[in-house]
Parts: sequence; C-alpha cells; structure tokens
Amino acid sequence: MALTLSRRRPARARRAVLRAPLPRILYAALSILGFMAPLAVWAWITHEHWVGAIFLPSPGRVGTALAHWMRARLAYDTEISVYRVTMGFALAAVVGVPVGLCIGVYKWCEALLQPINDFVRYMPASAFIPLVILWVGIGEGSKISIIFIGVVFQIVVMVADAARAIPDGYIETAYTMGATPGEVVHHVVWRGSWPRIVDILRINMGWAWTYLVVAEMVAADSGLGYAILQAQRFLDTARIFVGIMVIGLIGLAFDLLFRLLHRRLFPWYRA
Amino acid sequence: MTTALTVRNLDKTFGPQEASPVLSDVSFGVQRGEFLAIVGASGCGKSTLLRLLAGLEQATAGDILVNGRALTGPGPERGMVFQRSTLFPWLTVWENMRFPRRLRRTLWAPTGDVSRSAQRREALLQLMGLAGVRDRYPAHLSGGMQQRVNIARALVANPAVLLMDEPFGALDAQTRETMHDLVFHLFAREATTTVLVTHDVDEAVYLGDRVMVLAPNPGRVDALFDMPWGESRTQDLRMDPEFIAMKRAIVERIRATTSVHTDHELLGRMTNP
Ligand SMILES: Nc1ncnc2c1ncn2[C@@H]1O[C@H](COP(=O)(O)OP(=O)(O)OP(=O)(O)O)[C@@H](O)[C@H]1O
Ligand SMILES: [Mg+2]
Repeated sequence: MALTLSRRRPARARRAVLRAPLPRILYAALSILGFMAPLAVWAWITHEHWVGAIFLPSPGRVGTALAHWMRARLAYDTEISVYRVTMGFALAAVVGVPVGLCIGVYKWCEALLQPINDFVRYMPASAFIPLVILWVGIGEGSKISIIFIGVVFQIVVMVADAARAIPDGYIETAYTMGATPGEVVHHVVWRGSWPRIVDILRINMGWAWTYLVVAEMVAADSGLGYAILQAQRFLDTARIFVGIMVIGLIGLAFDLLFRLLHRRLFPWYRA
Repeated sequence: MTTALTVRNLDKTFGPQEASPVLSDVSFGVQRGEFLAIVGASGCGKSTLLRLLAGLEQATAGDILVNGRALTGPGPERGMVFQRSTLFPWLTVWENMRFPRRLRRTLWAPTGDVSRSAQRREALLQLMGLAGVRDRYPAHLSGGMQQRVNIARALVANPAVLLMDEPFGALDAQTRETMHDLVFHLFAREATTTVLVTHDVDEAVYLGDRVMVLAPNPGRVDALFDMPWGESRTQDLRMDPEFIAMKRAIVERIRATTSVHTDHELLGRMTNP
C-alpha cells in the first residue's frame, strides 16, 4: 500500500516543497511579483474610480507628489530621519547589547535588571513624549530619545535570551580547557551569540523606523514622519503615501544590509 | 606505578541534604597511564561521577586528588569529552583545536612550548584522519568525525587525565569499532590516563585495563575487574571465549544491581484489558 503510493508520487518531489532552494531567477521573479500584484490591484481600483482620490490616490498622483517633494526637500527630510533613527538605534544597541549579555550570563545581573526592564518594556514609548520634552527639551535629543526608549528594552530582553541559548556544554568545555569566567563570556557566549545578536539588531532597526513618526510628533519641523503628519493636516493623501513608501524602502535597504553582513560574517551559521 | 587520580569516600547529593544521594562512599584510584572503564545501569551516577572528576560539580563530601593535589575546579590538566559533541560551531576544526591558544593562560607560553603544541596539533589531526577537514566547520562533519575532533581537541593540551562520557554512544557499530582501535593505539602510545564512562560493556572490556561496575541507588562501587589482554588487542579479541566470558561476568554484575525487571502481571493487564 505504502509502496504503491510512493511509486506513484516519488518522495523526492514531495520533499521539494519544504525548504527546498529555488532557482535565483524564479526567486527574483516571485519577489517582483509580490510587489507588482498589489500595485496592479491598486491601479485598477483607482482607475475604476471605486473610491475617492482623498481616500486612495492613484499611483500616478502619488508619482507626481513624489516628484514635487523630490524637487523640494525630500533628500533633506530623508537625511534627517535616517540620522535620528540610526542615532537612536545605535545608542540603544550600545547600551542594550552589553546589558542583555550581562543579564544572560550572570544571575545577579538578571535579578537586578530583568524585572525592571520587563516593567518599563511594556510602557508605550509614545507616552514618554511629555517627559522627554520636559527632560531633554525639543531639540534633536528628544527625537533620538524616543526611538532609543522604543527599542532599547527590547534589545536587552532579546540579547539576554540569545546569551542564555548558548549550550552549557560549550561553557563547560571551555572551563575544562582552562578558560577563566571572563574568557568564557568573551570567547564562548559573546562569539557564539553574535549571529543572533546581529539578527536582533536587524529586527530592532525595523522597529526603530516605526517609532520615527512618533518621535517626529515632538516639535519637529523636518523629517519624513513630520512630513506625513503635515500632509495629514492638509489631507494630502498622495504625499502620505509617498512618505510611507520612502520609509518602507529605506527600511528594506537597511534590512538587506544586515542580511548581507550576516551572510558575510557567519558562514558557519545554519550551514 | 604512581597514582594519577585518587577518589576517597566521595558523596554527592543534589539539592537539599535530606534528598537521596546519587553517589555514596565511592573510592577508587587510577594509575598513571591506566585506562579505567566505568559501566553501570542507566541513572546510577556515572555521568555525575565524571563531572565531579572534571570539577564541573561540587562533591557533597570526600576528596578527589589529581597527582596528589586536591581538586578545586575544572582545569586544563583534565580533558573532557562529552557524549554530545561540544565543538564550537563558529570555529573550524583547526580553530577548535587551537582554542586553548586564545586563553590568557597560554599567552605567555615559551616559544618552544608553542611550536611543540603546534606540532602536536598537526600530528593529532593527521592521526585522527582529520587533515582533509581542518578548515571545515563542525556542522559540515559527520557524527564520527565530530567526535574524533572532540577527542583530538581534548588531547591537544596533553592532559594528565582524560575523562570521556560515552564518547562513542552516538556512533554506528562500524565507526565505533574503528574509533576503538584508533583510541587504543593512540592512548597506549601516549600512555594517556583515561576514565571512560560507557553503557557498552563490549567497549569497556575491549578498551579498559580495568572495568569498574557502579551499582545504583545510591551509586557505589560494586566490583572491579582486571582485563588480562595487555597491549595485544585486535578486533579478533571480541570473538575470543575468554573475552566473552569476561563480558558475561560484568553484564551479570550489572543485572544483579539493577532493580528494573519486566513485570509480567502488569504486562498481561496491558495487552488484554
Ligand atoms: N543536576 C542534577 N540535579 C538533580 N539530579 C540530578 C542532576 N544530575 C543528575 N541527577 C540525578 O542523578 C542520578 C544519576 O544521574 P547520571 O546522569 O549521573 O546517571 P548516568 O549513570 O550517567 O545515567 P545514563 O547511563 O543514563 O547516562 C539520576 O537519578 C539523576 O536524576
Ligand atoms: Mg550519563
């Protein structure tokens, strides 16, 4: 019974469905299709005038809005937003990675910092805006602070988990080869969790971008998030579309950069 | 002959004092250059004993002496090979074997020592048949190869005592026999003092100079057998009547100390309700 079944449909063909690699061309074609299909649906809906342009502008209108904005100060808005996001993110990484590592390695550090970190982590970053203005003022520092607050606590939790995921066997082996506790942290925990930490940073870079609009609600007069909020005030829906898409594209670029970095740095990982 | 390892009245209890002990009053010695194999029923405390010797667990009572000195914790003079490969996946085979060189301990080693240990690494790599895979990552090696690298890595530091916890447990029968001969010749040549924990009596009888049977609940030394094979071990030995008789004697000891028997009444109730 089982034999006839497997003869009719070879096991190889069925296995190919799961996790099997795809030809590069096909992969790229599917990726483009994933972009083009929603675009086509969108164009069709607006072409048929099923919804008003106020609610859903046509791709053409969005293109015009993009051209306008590019002639004005899109480059500047993009630059300042990238600056805010990368600064907030970098500070969060510089603080969050060592703290997370410490929590994942030392029980005293876990006892001291994990409960408070979990407590603050659930507070909405946007609710900190009034406090941040009060403490930091309305300069660049306040926008960077909001993004920092948005991601730092997540980085701490995730890095602590990555450090804890290093098997005891590796740590014990290092001890039996004469490593000191400090060397175990450096050569085993840190080296071993690097790929996961880079992944964690990639994910948090994405989240940092989602906090941009929140951050630029704070007395900003420039930036992509600010421009989106301005466009909302004038019901300039096409411009809102442009802003969102530009943020999406930059986010995608950063994501690809991190993935490339990952592949270059860790050839041994999931090999 | 001098004693490399002395264990005296060792007790081990996990958790609170009133919990039942895992090891109770374990005493034995291992001579320098000797190969001691430890067998016993599952759960009798073999791994725990080995981890105590490695310094990875603290004894509740008793002493462990290595070359006459009391043990304080894990150290490079006692190499350890675990049942599951513990090769660092982010390092190549060669880098794994070089790992001790990254440690401060070896940073200021005299250049003579450094070049000697480099030669030793190279020789071990060749002997273990790993020269072709020196730049591969562990994930790209077969289970047998991985375990060979684990053993080679533990031998690089030329430890006074090598501890191995079922190092061949995950390997198939053929690979295991090949590994036995490799390990036997290498260890005999180097006179490596070895404590091997295994559940495979055949392996224990083939490799051991002595075989120690551990009894469970609580773990204690039940019997010690001397193996009379000397240096002349070949695969034919496994078919030798004397070898088989020795195996039988040891297996009988293990059976006698195990309390798990098939309860035929219970079994009957299971099959016809
Ligand atoms: N960390 C621990 N905490 C509590 N109990 C433990 C711990 N490690 C081992 N034990 C207990 O000690 C006993 C002996 O365990 P051990 O792993 O040493 O047995 P073993 O002889 O190696 O068994 P096996 O042949 O199945 O590997 C078991 O009953 C186990 O439950
Ligand atoms: Mg065990």
